Amino acid sequence: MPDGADDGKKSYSMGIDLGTTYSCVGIFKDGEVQIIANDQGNRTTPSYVAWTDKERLLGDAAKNQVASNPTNTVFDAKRLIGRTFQDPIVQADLKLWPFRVVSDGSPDDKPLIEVMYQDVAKKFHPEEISSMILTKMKLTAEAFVGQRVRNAVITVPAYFNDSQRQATKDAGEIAGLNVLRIVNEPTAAAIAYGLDTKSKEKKTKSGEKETNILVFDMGGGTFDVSILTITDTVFEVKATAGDPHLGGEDFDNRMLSYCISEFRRKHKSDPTRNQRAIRRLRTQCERAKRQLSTQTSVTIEVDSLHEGQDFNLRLSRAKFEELCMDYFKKAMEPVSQCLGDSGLPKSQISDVVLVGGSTRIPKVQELISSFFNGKQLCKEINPDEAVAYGAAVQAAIVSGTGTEEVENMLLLDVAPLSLGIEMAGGMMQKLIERNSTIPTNKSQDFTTAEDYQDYVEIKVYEGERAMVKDNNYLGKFVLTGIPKTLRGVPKIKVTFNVDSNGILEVTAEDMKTHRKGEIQITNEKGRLSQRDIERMLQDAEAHKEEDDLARGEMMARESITVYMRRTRKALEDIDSEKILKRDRERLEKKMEEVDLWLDEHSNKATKEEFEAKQRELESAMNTIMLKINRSESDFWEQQAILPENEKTIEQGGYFLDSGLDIRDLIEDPD
Amino acid sequence: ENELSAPRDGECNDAERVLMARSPFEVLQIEPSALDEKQVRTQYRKMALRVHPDKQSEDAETFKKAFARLDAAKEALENLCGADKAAVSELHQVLQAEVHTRE
Repeated sequence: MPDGADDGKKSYSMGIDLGTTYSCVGIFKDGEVQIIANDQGNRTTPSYVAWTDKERLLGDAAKNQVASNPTNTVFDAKRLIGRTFQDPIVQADLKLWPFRVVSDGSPDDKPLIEVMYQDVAKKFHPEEISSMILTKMKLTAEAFVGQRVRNAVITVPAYFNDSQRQATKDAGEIAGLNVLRIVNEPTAAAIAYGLDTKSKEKKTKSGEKETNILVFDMGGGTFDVSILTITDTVFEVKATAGDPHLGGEDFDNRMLSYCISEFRRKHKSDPTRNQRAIRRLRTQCERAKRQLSTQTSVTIEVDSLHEGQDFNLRLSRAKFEELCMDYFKKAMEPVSQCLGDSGLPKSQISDVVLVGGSTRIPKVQELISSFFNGKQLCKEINPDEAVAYGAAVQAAIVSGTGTEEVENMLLLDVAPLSLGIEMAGGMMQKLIERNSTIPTNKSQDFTTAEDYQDYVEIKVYEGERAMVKDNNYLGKFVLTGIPKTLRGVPKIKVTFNVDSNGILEVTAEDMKTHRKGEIQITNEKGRLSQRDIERMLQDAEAHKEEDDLARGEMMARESITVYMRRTRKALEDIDSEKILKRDRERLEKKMEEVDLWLDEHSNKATKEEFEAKQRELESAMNTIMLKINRSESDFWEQQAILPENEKTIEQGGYFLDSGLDIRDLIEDPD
Repeated sequence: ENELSAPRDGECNDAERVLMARSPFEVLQIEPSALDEKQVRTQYRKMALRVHPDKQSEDAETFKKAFARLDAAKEALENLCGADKAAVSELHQVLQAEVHTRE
């Protein structure tokens, strides 16, 4: 049902790729998917949140100031979400993060991220950090469509487990979103591939064509492989495998450690404890890694890195590959496992689709290609945007807000891990096998192990090993009031229900008394309670006021930057003979002055100050425009190439002359 | 044109039909003589488009059950694909004759 189609106004649903390092948002509008650029003009937004003395920063603004504010700039929330503090992966990551992570001290052992904001230590759950990034993506989408957007499909790695999915869904709720669906990233990418291929191919007339594809999705922090059979309308996942903790950041870390050891060797001093130095070095490593995808060698340079010493290192692609080779090789294991699970021979895979930034690495491509006996890889789709693209399509499918073509499509995804319960002796009894199509439910009857036993304890696990101790514990519940009788007599029916999000719900019923127990699985381990979520939602609302204030400044800052850009272009475009030398000089001087002022003040000026500066510029510009006998508005008319989000109201956009966005003044219909 | 098309024609909906079917063959609407993997997959997709809960805004529970049954039927028939044709036909007849009761 189209949700909230109020006042005849179309309601939109967005697709959000919530990545470890970058996030991306898309929306299905006017018959196609639009990937939306943020207020900085970027189509992907860093998954960063930072606290300065004055405000909270999100996305690019947060990432840009990371070197000067490392301990209060938070990223990698996706590597924490749905995990416990003691999780070995969290413990290993901890050592590399400049921000503080502590345990909440409860038996659940949830990790909390600690930052200093206005001299007060504040602690956040990973879900809250993710919710802030989701909020940023939501604002980006809203600025584009010009109305509130609440419905969202959020993607997760296919290999995310139950708690990680649930926690991601919670993050959406904290952001005030109506989470339509949690969709697997490679599946979303497959949609992008499918639609792209379809648009290029002429319709095959006789019968439907089946194509098997393998999606290799390696991003900043996670890695998935999925095999799908796709036809015109149905995208069916056959099997999925992966590593929820493998991606570009691991390669950065390798380079970073190498650089540190090189620095130590050369200068006999250790920068490890110098957070700012490490951050600056990390940024350069990340940049070098990207360059090494197109160049065969790069120089990593950081001036005055530590104790006044410069850092300078020539790094070849071969060396980079050597540093990361074990990771690259490790990534091939899920590929062969996934193939095995799908039951398809290599030769039946007609396309290998690359998604995620890390698939730009030549060595990664080479290894996949040779795994498929030298096969040509598909690089047609945008590796950074494909997931958000597919998520936007799925949002349109689920909410019924797409075109007929889209609404006729269907996604059939699978559960990535087997699910079961502990039997006597610590054995795992699987109820749902991995790669089962979801939604699914399976029931099985169990009985008591001892005479006169009047309750049973049911422990739920996920994983592939035979013994539960080797699998991941999800939670337990107790079913009481079973009539006392001999062992083996009672009949207890346990039902596993995996919904379309890949989230498990378990119920048990004593078939004699019909007494039921329902598991709150995720409350058991790691998951936030409904109370927690509500509290965080309120906190987020409280933050909104501060954010609105900050946004007013951001808008004004953006407005003046845009104005500068346009003025500069105007000066180039106008026949110089028409402008008096004196006027031109006056304007140029003003611009230079504003430029300097922006450099110095753009992080601390108020909205009013930005607006005042812009007015000064405008008056200098208007003098010229009046003299060349054209009204300014006429001139801007001709500059009709302005993107939508820069237009003023008169131009059909949303901005007042002051730079305020009128959409900010519109009440949320919800 | 962005409203959902009107609910598919009344009568007995596809989900209910799947739930009432007496055998996997009926669920997937496949004749035992025509049984092969390709046929199973094609029919599965065709039926999935009709009974998947995503394709229906009302009565989600019925559609969930129907989809689960469709999935089980596909698996059952895929396992039969390699079997002897005569045996398959016989199985089909037995299933047709017996009235199944499911909870």
